[in-house]
Amino acid sequence: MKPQIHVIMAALSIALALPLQAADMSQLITDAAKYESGQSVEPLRKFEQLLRDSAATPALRVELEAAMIKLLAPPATFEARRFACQQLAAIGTDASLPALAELLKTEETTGIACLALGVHPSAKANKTLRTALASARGRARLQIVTTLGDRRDAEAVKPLSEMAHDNDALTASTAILALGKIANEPARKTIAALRKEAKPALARIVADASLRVAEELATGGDRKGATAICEDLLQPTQPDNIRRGAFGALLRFEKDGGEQRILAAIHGSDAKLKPVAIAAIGSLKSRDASKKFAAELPKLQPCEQVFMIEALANRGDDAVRPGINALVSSADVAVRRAAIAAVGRLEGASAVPLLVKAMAGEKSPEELQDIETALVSLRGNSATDSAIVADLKSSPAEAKVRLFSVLARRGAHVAVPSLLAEASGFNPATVQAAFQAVGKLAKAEDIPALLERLVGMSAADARSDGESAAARALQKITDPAQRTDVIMARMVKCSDIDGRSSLLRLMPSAGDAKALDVLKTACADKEPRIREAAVRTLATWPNVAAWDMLMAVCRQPESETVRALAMRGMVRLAGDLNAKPDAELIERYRKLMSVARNADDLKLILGALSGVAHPDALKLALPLLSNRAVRAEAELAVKKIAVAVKAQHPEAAREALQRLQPPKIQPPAKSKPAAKKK
Amino acid sequence: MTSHTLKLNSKTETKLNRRQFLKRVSTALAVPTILPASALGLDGAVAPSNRIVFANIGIGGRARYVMPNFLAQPDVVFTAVSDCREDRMKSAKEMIDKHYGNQDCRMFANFQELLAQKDIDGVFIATGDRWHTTASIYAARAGKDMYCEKPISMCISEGRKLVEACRRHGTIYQGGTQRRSTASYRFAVEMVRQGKIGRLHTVEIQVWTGPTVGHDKPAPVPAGWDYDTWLGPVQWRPFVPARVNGWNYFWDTGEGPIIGMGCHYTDQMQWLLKRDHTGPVEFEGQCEWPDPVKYMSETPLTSETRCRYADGINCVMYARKTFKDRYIRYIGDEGWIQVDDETNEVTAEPKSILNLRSNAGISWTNAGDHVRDLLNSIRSRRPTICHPEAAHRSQTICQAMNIGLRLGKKLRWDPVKESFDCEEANRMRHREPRTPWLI
Repeated sequence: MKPQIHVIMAALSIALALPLQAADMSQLITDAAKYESGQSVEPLRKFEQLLRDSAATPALRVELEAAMIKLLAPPATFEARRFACQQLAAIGTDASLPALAELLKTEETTGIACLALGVHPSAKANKTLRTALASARGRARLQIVTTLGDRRDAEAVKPLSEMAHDNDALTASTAILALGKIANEPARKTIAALRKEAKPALARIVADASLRVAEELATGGDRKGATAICEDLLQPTQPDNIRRGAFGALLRFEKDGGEQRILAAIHGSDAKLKPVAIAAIGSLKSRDASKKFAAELPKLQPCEQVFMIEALANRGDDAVRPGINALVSSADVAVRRAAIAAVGRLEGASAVPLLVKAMAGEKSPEELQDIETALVSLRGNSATDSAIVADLKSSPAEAKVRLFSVLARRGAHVAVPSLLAEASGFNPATVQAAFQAVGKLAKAEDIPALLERLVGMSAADARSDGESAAARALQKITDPAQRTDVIMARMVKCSDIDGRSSLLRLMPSAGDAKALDVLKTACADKEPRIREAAVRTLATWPNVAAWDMLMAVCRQPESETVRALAMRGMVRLAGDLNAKPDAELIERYRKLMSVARNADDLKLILGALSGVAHPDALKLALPLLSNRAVRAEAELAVKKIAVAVKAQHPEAAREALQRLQPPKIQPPAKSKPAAKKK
Repeated sequence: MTSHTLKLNSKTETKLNRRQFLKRVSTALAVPTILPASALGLDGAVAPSNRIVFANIGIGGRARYVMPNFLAQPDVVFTAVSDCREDRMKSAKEMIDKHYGNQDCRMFANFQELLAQKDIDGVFIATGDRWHTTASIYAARAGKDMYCEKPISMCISEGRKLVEACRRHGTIYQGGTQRRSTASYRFAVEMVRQGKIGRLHTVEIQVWTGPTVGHDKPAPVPAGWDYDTWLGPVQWRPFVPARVNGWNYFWDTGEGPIIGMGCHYTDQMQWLLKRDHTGPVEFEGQCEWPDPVKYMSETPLTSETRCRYADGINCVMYARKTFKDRYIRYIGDEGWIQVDDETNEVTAEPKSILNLRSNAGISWTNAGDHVRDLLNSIRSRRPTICHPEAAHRSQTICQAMNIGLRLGKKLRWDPVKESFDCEEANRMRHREPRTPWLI
């Protein structure tokens, strides 16, 4: 994309940055002036490009502004004038003010004029707006007031103050809001008077303006004045949000963050302010605030304790920890869960026993999940990991499963020996979880120990988890030959059939020729279970290298079971090659067909063959249309292949599809219709 | 939301190392379902008096998508809807009434009447983008807490006004960039903060190629539409069906994929970097504009925009390829981690990073945890995870990128003064709203 953009940009720049001929500009203005939706926006886009190009060319910028000013006047369409105002918002100077003033005289165009005037850098724009205000009506008047407010025009306060007492609520509200933005001394007086008048219809906008004024006073250093306004707005007669806003402002105005106000609110009975006060504790600056407010924790109601725990945890210092830790065993579940979460945020290794103990007893899955998450989050990497490992021995089975998960999520490699020890147990759930964790944590150097545990495992139900863990760990060794070596090193010492079978099943994780040879040898093992394990593993081999061995098994099978396994393995391997449909692949399918023994085999092969986009695949599938046992599968395969090859081999596809047409049945000879009964 | 609670975050963040802060955040997010004990009745159900009463303002496709996440919360009850399109309003009422098995949902063509209802505690705002700030500020003024869809504003000054309004009115506000509450994104942030990819130096973002809108003529406003309200704070322009339907690709009413999608990712970046109260210092980019002969849409087709933080961390945002190809990738000097938005899939190098993930979790398409965070904040009055300042700052990045493209200039930005080094760009921070909408 980048080179393309550069070419476009360069072309536009060359075309548009060149000094425009007066005639060109005049034509552009003429074209743009006619713009209405539905027409090409090319003239408008050219002006936008000129705006970009004129940044470094003052003369062009002057020319552009002049063009925009021309666009403001008749006969330019409304949309053209609107566009010009948008451009003047970015580049307009005092030169544009007279033309914009004209737009302020009409309600229809006041809004678009204010687009440009709202951000006009010159104070002369204020005068333009004030002048227009005198004669403006309706929405235009409100628009001008809004813009004067946004510009914080101090000289507009007098007319705005008069409008603030208008009987029309919208007019008064617009003026009051503007006065709140201006917030100078005269504006503040008007707003104070309005506060006293307390007109219900204006109460919220007056409160809003008052809070703006208070902020302005505080910013200017008059905290006393600001505080007086906010305390007035804190009265219970005010709406909740105004009281909350005023309370928050009061806290901000005080140097210490309002510690005493917060304490008073916590001790008080004002349910609306108490949570606000508690939430603010985290921002208090004094060092002893944590201790002071942690001492309040036991005195609060449970739901307040939840809020307080979170607020104290936000402070994060040592003083808050004992109080929070104590609530991990609260009788209230919400308090417990909040405390558990906070412990996870604040604590390290020392909190492990506390959290492990919290797992005991009747706990909901959600709470147990909280504890697990808290344990994962505990800081102090290796020390905490070791503390969790130390707690494993004394933990019940259910807790162990969670702790294994915690160790895995913490990436606690230090836990691998302990996890392997746990994997030698008899409880399948524990052994499974231990192996799952080991699979995530084990490094290359752990693999011998992992294989040792795998071949000697007691919990048969967890064997597949052990194998998965070993397979996952083997991927940490980059050289496939080394993977095979490490498996073989254990295999030569292994006489246990289950253990040897497990090791054989790891061979695809190595995936090299040596590993394949091991399986080949195992296929001829004197022990039937080893032979079956070898064939099963061959059938899952990741690439076509196993094809010939599988074919050999298929041709001279020891049993129907191993033949079926080998067949499935070859069909899968052939299917994996479908993306590259060539003569070699067709030959593989042909061989598969030749060793197929029954309809199930053929159905399996047809399923894979249907994904081969090659005309010769049709030749393999079409003869099977006459085989009633697999006719349905053959039809599907022919149809799918024909559709896939249609573009390149239309004739072959057409012929194949014709073979799918049901045979035409001669209609029976028409008999004379019976006479209709009346 | 108050400024000093924001300072709280800022202050405490500086006290903590990366890992500690991450743990705080992830742990806080891990308990999304806590309800204060007092909210529960004897049977464990939420007592009616403790339910948070919500209403909806603006019910288009997005609102219908998120609404079930609200309705699924045990302590929320929806009682009213408002939309300037009658058909949509009726359909929303049907949806809510069906959920509750009654006919109680009230309809208000005028959202200000809805906001005047004293029984409503909070609002879910999912109007078109042009309305987000205005509706939010009106809601704050009316004493309602809220969840507002992104983008939170149409220009930088609007965003600042929103932050100030929420602070003035003690409003709890949740920005609808719900990926801060999404497991896959949280995991990626956690891994970067734990140093799993080494020192982070680049954040790569991809949104999609901007669509185009062909020329179309003004037409009569359809029956049942209040077009004046639809426009809201946008200065008047004629009703043009293609422009109204493709509002996302005109500067007045939307800002294309850079804002529409980009703000999700800049939000993640800001959160990861703990820059919720500041932002990058430099912006530049190139783009490809629509052919003006064929199309009237205004936002770029493809673009490559970059920004840089003062400490040298870079961000590049591509607008290219298709909608399904969007992603965010964090690149460090020892690896990378990426979240694909369409699939919620996390990929990483080294791959071992992925072993540390407990489970895939629900994707961003379910905003339930984000809604839960809002509800918890409404009760506790602590800031939400995507509070107004955070939402404004992440949005500012996208807005600055667009301003840079529109001016064809490299821009420097002062995140303290919220000011560019360019007068034109500074003027483009603001758009004068149409009356009678007062913000």
